[in-house]
Amino acid sequence: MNGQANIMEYVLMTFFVIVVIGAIIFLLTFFQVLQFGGEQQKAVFTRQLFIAKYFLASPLMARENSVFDDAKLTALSESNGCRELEAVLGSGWAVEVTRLDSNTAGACTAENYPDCGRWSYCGQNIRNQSIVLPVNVYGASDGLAGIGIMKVVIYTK
Amino acid sequence: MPTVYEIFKMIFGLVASVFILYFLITYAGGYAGTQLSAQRISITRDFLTASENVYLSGVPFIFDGFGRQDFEYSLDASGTQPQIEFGSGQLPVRVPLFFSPGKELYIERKELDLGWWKFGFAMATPEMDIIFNVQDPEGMDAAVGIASLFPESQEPEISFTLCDGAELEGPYGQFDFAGSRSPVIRNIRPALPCSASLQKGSILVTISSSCSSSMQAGICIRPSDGTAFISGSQKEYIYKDSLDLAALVLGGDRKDLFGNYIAETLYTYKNRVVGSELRLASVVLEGKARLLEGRDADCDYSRLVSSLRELRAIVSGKDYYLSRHTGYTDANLLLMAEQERLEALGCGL
Repeated sequence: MNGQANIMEYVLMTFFVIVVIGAIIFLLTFFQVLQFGGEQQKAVFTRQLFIAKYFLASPLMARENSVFDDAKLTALSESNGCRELEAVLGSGWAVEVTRLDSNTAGACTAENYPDCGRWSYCGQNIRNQSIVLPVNVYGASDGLAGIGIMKVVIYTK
Repeated sequence: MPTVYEIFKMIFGLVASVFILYFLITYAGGYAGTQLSAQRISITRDFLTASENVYLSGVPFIFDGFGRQDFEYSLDASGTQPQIEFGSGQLPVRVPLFFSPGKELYIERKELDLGWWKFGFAMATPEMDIIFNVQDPEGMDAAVGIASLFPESQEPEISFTLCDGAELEGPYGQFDFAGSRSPVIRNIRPALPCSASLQKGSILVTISSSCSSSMQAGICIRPSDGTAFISGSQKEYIYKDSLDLAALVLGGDRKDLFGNYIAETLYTYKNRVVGSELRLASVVLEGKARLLEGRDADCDYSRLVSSLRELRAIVSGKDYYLSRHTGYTDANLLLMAEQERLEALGCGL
């Protein structure tokens, strides 16, 4: 009986040690997953900000730093600009610029320019998980600058 | 004589210890490997973020993250999206970025001014001494042009030296070397082939009319026909602007972790990324010209549009930079002239 009790003690002790090691491993993995999730969220936000800043700084869309040129925006949205931009910025994003002081909110094309007020790149009708920034939009046809908003969304898998 | 219980204790203890030890070592090894990879990812991501910030803000930055852990990294521009490879992974490069690996890098935004379009890029330069051996005075401009795209930096030290036979003159900082009183311009006479002993990490740039692929070290530039060579490579590299040459000089004759010449990778990447941006720029400016056409009678964009189309046709060719046709330069000059004419009329795009 005494021998059996001793063996049981050993088995229990080993089981306890394994459980402790398992718990440590579980906690370490859990913290890593948590950290990874947090970093992914941060990476999405950083990428959104980068795309916003890229759009505002690039002479392909902006007249000067932080001021969009509506004719350039229209020309870019009319062309196959999304594919070209994806070669630089990667895929899985969309941008929408809306001029707030425009009489019409329709999407800009070569036919309705300048009577329009919305430009979309690589996606339409952006709603969820986007960052929204106030921007300036310069009207190349009338030389007047107006205000607008830019939405940037990142599509996560 | 040990009892059955004692034998059980010994065997059980041995089995349990081996099992626990094996498990712990395996897990610890895996965990350490993951941590190492995570650190490399983190360092490379920090470098890319710093480069993106420099590209967008124009504020220079000294990045010393690669000194924290010793690992190789290089640019892989073979796919649609350029990437930085670092052995255990890769991360995408989202802005035009030229770099040569080093522990400490000076990142600066520079621009290639084509007259009608400014191509902006970030350049990350490690500590280096660029030694110019100007045997052909026709290449003085090339030497100054290359230096103008490098930064003025003491930490990491980026310097320029002139070599004439066994004699070295310098080192000079970028401001002194690329400025109006550059020592290259003062030394108009052709230099003798460089025979001075060069320090490790220095890059010899020979400017000579007799360059060939069998040269000894560094980069050789032949200004007479706009060709450059990398020591050890049999290929000829046609250059059209100072950024082609700066890309070759930045890479030197070093090889990356795939065994490719860094200079060749940077040269190819430069031409693809410039071609891509010029193609898109021509589309946008042509589109804008069409939208504004007819609004002002003085503004005639027809010549600009035809030049934009001509340039687009050239840069749309996959290997446009490998042929020696002059159309690229001519189209850029025409566009510059046309842009200037339109700006003078108040019709600039």
